[in-house]
Amino acid sequence: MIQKETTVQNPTGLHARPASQLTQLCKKFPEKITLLAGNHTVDPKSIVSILMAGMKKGTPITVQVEGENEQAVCDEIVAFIDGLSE
Amino acid sequence: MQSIYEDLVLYGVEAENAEEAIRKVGKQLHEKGFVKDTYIDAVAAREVEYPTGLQLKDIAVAMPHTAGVHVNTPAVCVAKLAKPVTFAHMGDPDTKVQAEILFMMAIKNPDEQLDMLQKVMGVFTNTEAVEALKAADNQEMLFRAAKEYIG
Repeated sequence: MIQKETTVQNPTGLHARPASQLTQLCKKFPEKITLLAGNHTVDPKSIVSILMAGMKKGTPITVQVEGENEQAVCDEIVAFIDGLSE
Repeated sequence: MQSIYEDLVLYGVEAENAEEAIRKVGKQLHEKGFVKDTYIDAVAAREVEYPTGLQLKDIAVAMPHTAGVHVNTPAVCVAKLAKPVTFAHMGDPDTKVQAEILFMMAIKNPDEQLDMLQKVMGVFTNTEAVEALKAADNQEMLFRAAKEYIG
């Protein structure tokens, strides 16, 4: 298992649209993916789980990935979160 | 922050499809002055591109919304449909859900959206709240349940 830290930087945070895009991205990977955000342990393959966490701008997130391509998957998820702009 | 207003709780809305449901429910938000006249078209267009249906454990719902530029005052319009209407699932557009209740959100600024989403999601994962919403068989019961659990 590997993990990487990042912080939500976009002004609107992980609201419905970016959350949907993150869910679609994570569902492509067979790896086990977990996000730790504040008190929430998020399964990013579940849109409900992402929205329950209410990840706003400034929220620190730890991305944990376990599986065959864990490094590449973790990098891609962090890049997605870092690349949010609106 | 108040989200639920009695005027914005609708029971038995008749609609054949998602767009009709959005237009009927959005009309109420517009008539009561919570949103601008651009809101309904914006929500309908956004729903096609980024659907908001959600299949939860005991109920399917939809949470149509759009950008804050179309909103005057933040609120949630809760509408129980006369019969379930097909919406595409949020984050998984190929999956269809039979939505029974619409939580149509008028959101003004981004932080509010996350707070409101979190609040409404909290209701969906609360068995007692879902049961109260499902059991409501008139406008007053629906209002009381929405007020109690969403605020």
